[in-house]
Amino acid sequence: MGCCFSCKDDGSNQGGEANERTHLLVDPVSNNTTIQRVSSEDYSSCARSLPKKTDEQSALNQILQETATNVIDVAALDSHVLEQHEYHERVKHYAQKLQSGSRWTVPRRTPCLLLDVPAPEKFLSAEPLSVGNLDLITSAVSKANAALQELKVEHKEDLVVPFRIP
Amino acid sequence: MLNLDRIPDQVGYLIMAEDGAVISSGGELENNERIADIISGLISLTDNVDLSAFQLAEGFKRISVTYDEFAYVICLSNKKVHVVKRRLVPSGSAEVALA
Repeated sequence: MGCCFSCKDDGSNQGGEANERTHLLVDPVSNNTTIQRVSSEDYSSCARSLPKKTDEQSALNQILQETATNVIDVAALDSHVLEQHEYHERVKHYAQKLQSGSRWTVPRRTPCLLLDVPAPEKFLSAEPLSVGNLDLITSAVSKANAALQELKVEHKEDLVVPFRIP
Repeated sequence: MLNLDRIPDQVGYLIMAEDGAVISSGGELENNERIADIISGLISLTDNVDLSAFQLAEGFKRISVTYDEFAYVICLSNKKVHVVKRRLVPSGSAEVALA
């Protein structure tokens, strides 16, 4: 308010007696114009003095906004608000993953050769392997063993063949 | 609880979980982790046996590991592996038999 008043005051006595706004060093070439220029400048600045504050505020806000858009806040990345369709998409995706995952992570237990029997004592106390069966197994195993011993690799042609590179 | 003592010629027993952990043991096999490891290894090995090579499709009830003087008889019941060591009349050499 005081500024406005001084402005008016300044305007009224322009080119008149010296006050705090008149230049101490007078331009020798164009005294008049200088004063004119100064006063007009002052005046315009005075006229803008009221909205100046909000301008400054908005400019600061603009800077703040720009900085905010330029800064990647890593911590705030997670708090990204999901759009509805995005949310549904994710639900679908996760459900799909979960389904395939559950199918994958629950592998059927490899079937054990042994059956789960209700009364193990019966089988544990049953007669041990008969001599006949044992002989059969022994002879079969020794035959298989002998056959494996006789297994030989017949060398017929070179495994590594050099290509004829011209 | 099973009465494994009534099994004829039994000299020791082991009851293990399917993962090979010993649940209870007695006789010559008391706290015998080594045998338990071997047996669970054997059981996992038998998973590779092709059942289609045999006439019976449903599987086996007993595995016998037969030595000259004794045999380990292995049975699965209630998801627990029962192992009994039994004395034998001497005959033949060490074999693994499926019955």
